[in-house]
Amino acid sequence: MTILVGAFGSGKTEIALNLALRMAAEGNVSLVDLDVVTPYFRSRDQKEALARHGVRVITPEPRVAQADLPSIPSGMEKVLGSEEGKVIIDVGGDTMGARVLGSLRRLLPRRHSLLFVVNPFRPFTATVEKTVTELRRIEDTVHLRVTGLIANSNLGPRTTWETLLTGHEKVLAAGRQLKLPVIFGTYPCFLNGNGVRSNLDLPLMPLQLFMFPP
Amino acid sequence: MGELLLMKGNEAIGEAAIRAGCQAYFAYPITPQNELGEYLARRMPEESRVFLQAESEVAAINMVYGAAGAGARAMTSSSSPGISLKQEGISYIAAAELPCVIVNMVRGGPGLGSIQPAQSDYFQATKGGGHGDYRLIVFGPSTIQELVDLTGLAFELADKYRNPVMILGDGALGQMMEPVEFPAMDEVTLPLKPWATTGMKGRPQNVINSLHLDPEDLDRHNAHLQEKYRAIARQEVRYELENQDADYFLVAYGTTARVARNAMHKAQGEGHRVGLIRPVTLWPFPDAAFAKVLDRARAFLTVEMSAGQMVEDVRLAVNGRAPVHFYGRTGGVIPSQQEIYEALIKIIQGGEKA
Repeated sequence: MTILVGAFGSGKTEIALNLALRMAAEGNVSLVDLDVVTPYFRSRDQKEALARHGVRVITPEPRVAQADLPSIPSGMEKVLGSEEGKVIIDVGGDTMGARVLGSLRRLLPRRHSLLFVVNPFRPFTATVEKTVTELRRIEDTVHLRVTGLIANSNLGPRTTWETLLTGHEKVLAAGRQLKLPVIFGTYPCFLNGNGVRSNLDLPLMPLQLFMFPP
Repeated sequence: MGELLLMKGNEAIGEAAIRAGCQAYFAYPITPQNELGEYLARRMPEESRVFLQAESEVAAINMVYGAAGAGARAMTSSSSPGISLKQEGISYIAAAELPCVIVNMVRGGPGLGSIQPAQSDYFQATKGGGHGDYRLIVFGPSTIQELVDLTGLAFELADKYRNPVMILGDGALGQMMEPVEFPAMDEVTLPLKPWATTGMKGRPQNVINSLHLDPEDLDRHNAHLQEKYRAIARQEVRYELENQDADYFLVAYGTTARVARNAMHKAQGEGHRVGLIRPVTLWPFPDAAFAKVLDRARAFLTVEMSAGQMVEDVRLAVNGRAPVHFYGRTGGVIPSQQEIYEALIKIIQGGEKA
């Protein structure tokens, strides 16, 4: 089980969708949309596309899916307790979004990864110090320990390799300070992977983007 | 200008307000603009400024009245139903000539409607949503960077004209993320406000009020306000005109202008001569943009996320000299590039009557 937490707009949903699609190629995978705070750009909006690739998407029922209600998908206990297949949980941003995970923590299997997604180009994780503060706030809310970081450094359409790698370096520095591994870094697939000149000790995952502004 | 940050529209307004010297922000939550309140709840205390969550929208707008009256740069924000609640207060603020910034990240209406983006509060924003003869300066930004720039300008013009300024965004603009640059923290010089109620200290009493019981007195006050609005209309019109020599023009603001621009590019790719008029100030409306193209424009197509509101101002600006068509979606649906393109092609091929 992989659980993604992080500040608002750190890229949890895009990463959850990409991880789900990768894992779907290998077997049974469920994606749980536990975001009760974001009104737009949510996993549930991509449910059909994911279902076509064999990802089971667990979202609030359609009747309330377009509402700004903090509704938790039904059948959560069954999914969280299940030993079968892989589960990715896309948690809402910040402590506000993480609170719901805290309320479900007793249902989680003991073996899980709680990954903190960091984009150092976002305001509340712009420095190592801020990132540490943000991570601790979320840990205090969910009463669980973060087990690793994901470096999701990007400036949207203005992302370049240069800015991206500068950002990833900041996340690695935060990881060192927190004594936590940085599991992987991302790069948007519009950047050609052949052009990577990374000297960083960090596996990089191309990110297929699902959500675009109008 | 500093470094680039990736910001949501709602957060960007918050940071831009701080950079513009906003000293007090009064919040009441409503989707889809809650990130603005969340952001300022964290940032305003860091800057030793006032963040206050009021008990209602009505309370929040009246707190703005108080803070602005005392000379502070003040702001409140909401989304459609919440802005309706604020209308009495906005009318009082306009009447008392207090500078402030009001943000409306519009959602689908009428009524409780939806939480998805819309532009159906255009009438309310530009025609005086509350009672009495008054005007707001209204901005319709279409990118996150423009949100930042216009938030700064909103505070500046509010003070210059002692008039409320509204930023008319929509839910999509509030929620989407784009890279932005902010002005430096110490770039703003706050203007002196000798009219503010700051304690008499050796000067005659300043009174801030919107009650004028003597009809002649109120008539004079209205004449003064109208004169101010005419000055604003002369001096503060802003717009973007793309491809001035085109035969056909799309007219759109905010989020819709982004999609309309894509539709324009598609049509241009097919060899059609299409331009775009994008009002940046929705009041004062940029009649001047239309005057520039009326001699050759064959038709206009106004696109909105509404049942047709700005199109009335377009018709006034065009004044019968060319057909003005309309294409709109409501309820939270953003018109697609293809839909706009098809509506445009129908007009170009002569199959549509305005």
